[in-house]
Amino acid sequence: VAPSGSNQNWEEDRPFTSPSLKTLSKGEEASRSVPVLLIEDNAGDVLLIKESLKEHGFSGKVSVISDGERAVLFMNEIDANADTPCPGLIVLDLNIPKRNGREVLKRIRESSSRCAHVPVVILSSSNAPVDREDTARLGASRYICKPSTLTKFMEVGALLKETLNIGA
Amino acid sequence: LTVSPILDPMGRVIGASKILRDVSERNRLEGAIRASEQESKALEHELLLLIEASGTLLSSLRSAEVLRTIVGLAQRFVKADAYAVWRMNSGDGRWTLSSSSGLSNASAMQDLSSNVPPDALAQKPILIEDVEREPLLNARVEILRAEGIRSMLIIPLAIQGEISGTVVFYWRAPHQFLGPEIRISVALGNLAASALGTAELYDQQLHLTAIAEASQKRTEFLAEAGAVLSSSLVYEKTLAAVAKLSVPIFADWCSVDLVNDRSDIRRVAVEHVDPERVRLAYKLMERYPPNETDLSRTAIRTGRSQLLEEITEELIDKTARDPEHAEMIRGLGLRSFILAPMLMGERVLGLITFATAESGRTYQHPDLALAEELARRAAIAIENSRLYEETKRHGQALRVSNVELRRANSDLEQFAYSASHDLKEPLRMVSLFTQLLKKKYANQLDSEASEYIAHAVQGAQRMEMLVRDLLAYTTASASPGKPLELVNANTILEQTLGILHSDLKASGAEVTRTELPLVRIHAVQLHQLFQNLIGNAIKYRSQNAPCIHISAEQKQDEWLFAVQDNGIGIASEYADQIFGLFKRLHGRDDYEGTGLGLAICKKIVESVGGAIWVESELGRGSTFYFTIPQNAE
Repeated sequence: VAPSGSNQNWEEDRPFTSPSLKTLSKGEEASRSVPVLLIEDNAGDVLLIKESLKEHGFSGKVSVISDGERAVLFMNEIDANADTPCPGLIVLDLNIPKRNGREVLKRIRESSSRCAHVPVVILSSSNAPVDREDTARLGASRYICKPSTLTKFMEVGALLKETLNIGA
Repeated sequence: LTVSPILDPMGRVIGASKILRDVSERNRLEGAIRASEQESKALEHELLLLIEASGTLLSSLRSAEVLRTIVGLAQRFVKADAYAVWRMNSGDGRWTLSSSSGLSNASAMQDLSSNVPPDALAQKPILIEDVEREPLLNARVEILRAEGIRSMLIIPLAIQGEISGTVVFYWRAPHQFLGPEIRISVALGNLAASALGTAELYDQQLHLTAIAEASQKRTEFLAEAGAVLSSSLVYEKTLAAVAKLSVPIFADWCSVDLVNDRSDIRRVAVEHVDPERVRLAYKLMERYPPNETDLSRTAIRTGRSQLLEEITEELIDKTARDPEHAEMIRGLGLRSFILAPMLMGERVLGLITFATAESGRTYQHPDLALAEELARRAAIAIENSRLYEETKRHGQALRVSNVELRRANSDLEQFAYSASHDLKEPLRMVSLFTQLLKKKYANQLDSEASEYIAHAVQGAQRMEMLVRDLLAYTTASASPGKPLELVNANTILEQTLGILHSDLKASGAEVTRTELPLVRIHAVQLHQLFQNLIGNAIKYRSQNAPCIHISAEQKQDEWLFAVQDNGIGIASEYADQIFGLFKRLHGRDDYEGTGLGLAICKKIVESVGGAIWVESELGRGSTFYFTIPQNAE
């Protein structure tokens, strides 16, 4: 794992570099092209979420940030640079390295940009009521417990799209 | 002159009476008148003397006093040169001079030890005018001669028909016996015998009282010692206290020795009223450590008690190892002692030694019995103390191992929790990707590869179930730090039935229930209980559609819940087993499951202070009961 602030992985993960972003942020295109940001360290889950989104006809860009630290840095950049586009949906895992999901959620909602209102779906393996309650209080849009059967996991894509459409 | 012989019952002459008469008629008449006057005067005198004597004699209660009084009275009754009262020991027939007067060397007279054979007395007086010519006295004439005795009057003392002594009058000049003299002597003898008899009874009475008192004292001592022995379980202290108590009531010296498991002997107490003496005893022991041949070591070895009534000089010399040793032993001034081993069955726990010294007392058999009894009680006290210590030690060890066990258990639970928690994520990946593999590539693979994937999918699913249940089990009793609040069991049941909805519908189950109470338990716990029990009722259904009835009723201080079904039931021999970890009665192919569901239920119920059990019969359905205390904290 690269130290915080390093650009090495940042470039790879750096989302929303596509020119289409501008178009999206203007709301000129349909939801399927709105970029989705996954804050998730588990490559398996990333793959499954992408698969699930694909299954439900989502063809937009999916970017990934794999730790809490970089997620916070990303928010800092959005706030500092008005040109940096904001994603249409953030899918946030709670159990991520360096900064946990709660801190990241809090940072998102504290954003000075319009990103503060972006829909955030918590996708966690925890089913603990305390996690549901805490994240709801911090402004999460939805809470999904990571399913352990493929059928159920494939439904996650539908839920995300639904949220994206509402939020968009 | 009339001489009449005095005969013994064998017809032997043992004496004679001589009566002189005046043959002159006139003289005889005058004499008779005078004699009659004198006689009546003499009789009056005798009578007065006897009345006085009886008063005097009866006023003395102790026999020693009576004996002295007899001698005194004899002096007033009959004029002689010396007087003596002899007593005969009824046991060995030996005579002793009990009291005397007028003898120049009474102790020499003691040598007349065998006085007159009792049968020779025959309850009649013996008159000896001349000791030199009396065959009865042949053997003793030398002694009498030394005292200058010439004549003797021997009056037998018969107590209750038995000759038990004599009153003897001695004359240093030849004496001619007179009728009144003999008569009054005999009367005095009778009176003396009767007084002596009474006094002896009184003596005996006193003796018996003394014995009774001594026995009473012993009982009291024993009771007190018993109380001391049972007062504390620290027996060394107790034994020292008993030693202290024995001195000086029962002994002048008392010491206690203890024998340990390795047969080492240790002195725990030495008591004497004078601490200086105690130091001396310790010094003696230090200087001359006891060896195996010592009486005390023998007593410890054999467990036999010993009474030594009299410690003689010879014994000290024999026991001592050198003259200095003997001197030190003498310094202790011991008179007699008792060695009383403390026995528990065959085992000798120690020895209590009692000794008398300056009190001048000597131990007798009753004292030995007392000492043995005391040692017996001391042994019991030691044994009790040992048992108490042992129990305490075991209790301590048990507490320690309980703490360790609890810690080990909690460590294990923590481990199980972490392991199952951390297993969950990678396992989900295995499960999901095998499923994805199957989904995406099933038609590109041959049937063998498809089967392999199917096994992998199944295995991963099973493992997931296990991990889920293990997590549920490890967290079943862990309360999330919140105090238990009252939860509505009806609401929880509704939620559970909602979750189980599809399973219930698929099996065609009919669920009925009574009104359920508010109970003190975490909602998740009750939910888990209902879910596992109702889930089992669905899973283990018979051919018929499941009928599940959930009820609760109030018992004294708890709620009794019941989940009743019409399923396959459980054979009674398994009724307890099924609540154990990983206990399964069926093959995996028949019924899916981890064997944790009921173990989780048991853990939950026990964590709130309740109990869980099943009543069932194979083929007749089961009813699972669990209780939740009403006042659970």
